[in-house]
Amino acid sequence: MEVAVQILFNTFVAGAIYALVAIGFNLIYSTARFFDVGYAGIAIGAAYVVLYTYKTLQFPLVISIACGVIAAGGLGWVIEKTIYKPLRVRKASNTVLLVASIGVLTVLQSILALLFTSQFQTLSRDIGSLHVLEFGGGAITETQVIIIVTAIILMCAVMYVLRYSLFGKAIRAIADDEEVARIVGIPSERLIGFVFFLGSAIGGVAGIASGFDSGVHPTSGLTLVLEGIIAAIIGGIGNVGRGVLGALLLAAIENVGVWLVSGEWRGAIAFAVLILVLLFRPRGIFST
Amino acid sequence: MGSKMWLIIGIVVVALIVAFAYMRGTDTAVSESGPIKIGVSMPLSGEAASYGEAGRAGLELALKEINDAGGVNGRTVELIYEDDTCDSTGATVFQKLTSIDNVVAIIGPVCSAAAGPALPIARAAGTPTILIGASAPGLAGGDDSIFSNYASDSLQGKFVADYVYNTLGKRKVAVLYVKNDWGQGLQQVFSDSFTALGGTVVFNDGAAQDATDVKTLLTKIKAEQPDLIYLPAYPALAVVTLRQMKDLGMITPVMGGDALVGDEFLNSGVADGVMYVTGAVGTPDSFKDKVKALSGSDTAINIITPLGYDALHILANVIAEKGTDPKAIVEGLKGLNYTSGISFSVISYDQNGDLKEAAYDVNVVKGKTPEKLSL
Repeated sequence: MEVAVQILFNTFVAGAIYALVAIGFNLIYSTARFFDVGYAGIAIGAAYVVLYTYKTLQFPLVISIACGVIAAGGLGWVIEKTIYKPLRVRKASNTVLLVASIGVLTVLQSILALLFTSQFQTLSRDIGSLHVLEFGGGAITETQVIIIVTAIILMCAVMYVLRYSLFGKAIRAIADDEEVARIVGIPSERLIGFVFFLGSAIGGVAGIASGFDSGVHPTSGLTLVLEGIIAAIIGGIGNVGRGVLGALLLAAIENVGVWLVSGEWRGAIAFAVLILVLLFRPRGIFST
Repeated sequence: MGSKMWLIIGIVVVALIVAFAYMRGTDTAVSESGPIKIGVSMPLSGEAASYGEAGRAGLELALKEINDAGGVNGRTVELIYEDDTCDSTGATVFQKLTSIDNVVAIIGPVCSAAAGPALPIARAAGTPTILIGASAPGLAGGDDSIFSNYASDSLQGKFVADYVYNTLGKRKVAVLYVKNDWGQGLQQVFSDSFTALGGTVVFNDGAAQDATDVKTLLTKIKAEQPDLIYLPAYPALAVVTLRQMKDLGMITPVMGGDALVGDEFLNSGVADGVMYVTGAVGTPDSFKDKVKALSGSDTAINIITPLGYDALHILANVIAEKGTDPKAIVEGLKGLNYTSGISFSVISYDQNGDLKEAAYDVNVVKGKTPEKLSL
């Protein structure tokens, strides 16, 4: 069944991008304990950095992507140090931090629109040289395969680091209880800064992947990250592995839904699943 | 400073703001002296910004010509540009132009997605409005103050169905449309006309204006193996669709609508080989040269330019004859028989406010430039 194979491929690509978003988002949420919506602005900002370095400055591809990812991480770190940390020090509630992150998102989107215009733009330099591979009746491009492989590698790397490294243990300790972690001697402020760098960098990878897959627009970061947030919540918020599974599940449900019902229902299906999960299994489908 | 002090200051500030707004707002009548203010609603930013820029170029030329000749009845004409971003922001724009700026008339919108929410406001206020591109069926409808300088899509959809069936000889078509007034209107007319001619619409579905992933919809289309894909989409969705068609290895010919006339689409890298239909709006070289002389040699010019140009000249003529009373302007527009237009040789409106006649061109993109196909 050719169509089924193609739907499978579509699911993997979409799932990979959602998974990347969910990994970064979960990392930030598990330590900072609030919904960082500004993450969306950073993710799409990374894509715009790649747009600038790759298309305007004509840097080679790998260097452009590296610039984008590092820029995203750096931006995340700076925002954490200048905006979120002072609020945290003053014992701001999670709602206040959420509102602050909405402000961050708005400012980032506006800056991007000012610098790059709000036109929809594509990332690739030369569409003609696309390599399309065909397996079992379904088509997938080289770029999409790279996105999937990157998502798998990052997921494994992050999970390994979280589980087995000292750094990972410290992060999990902070995620558990920040005050006690500090009492025990973990430099939580420094580590939270690093987590923001890492999480935002991964978000940047997600934004760049999405940019290559479809295109960039100043407001497309929010749609992308919303899907990733839904994936993280469905899987089990705060846990990287469960977020990835949630991402795959969400992508599968969306694509099968569009296939069986209609393209118009795509958004409705995603949010309906979210509502059902929150009603019946709020800790996530895959939580114990 | 106690909290009572702040409360008093707050009340005084609010009272001042309300008083100020009230004093400004009591000027509800259109002024009888001073410059004649005409509002313009166009997409000046966003995915359709090139239409707005092209329209502005034409309007500026007309404005210069009118004011250099002494204005209208001795008064200069002033254009108030507002950005409707090709979506429901149009309603806010119209609200501002009619209630706050008290304009004599409005030119625009260009996008049907902006016109849908905006026009009821103009209708209720009786403000004469000339659409310069918004073409969803029924927008100008009814005996009211709304007129359109660009033919309704009820004609465009029929033309495309006829062209695809008779000239191109296609029998199985898949339709992928953008979910807004324009896309939905076009796909409805096209599907009905194509089926009436004897063809089959094997797939008919829509995607949101800002959708970024239509791969599964395209997979469904691929499975149906149509002879042609009809894609009435705005530039962003069109670019995404064509990109992902390439990703999926689909080589089905694509026919688009008149929304693809902007640079956003032509320069996107995926436009090569795509056909699209536009209204047969005249853009003679002499006109283009005059526009470029005023607005700069790299100004984007497309069909919206002469539409805007003619709309402003028409309004100037009608106001010169009938004055600035909205009802008189509407009467003047109803009886219009304008033959000095650049866009069409004769502009006159039927009882709904739509253009009486319409003609269309089919273009195909070669590289980044559109080429007209002979019909």
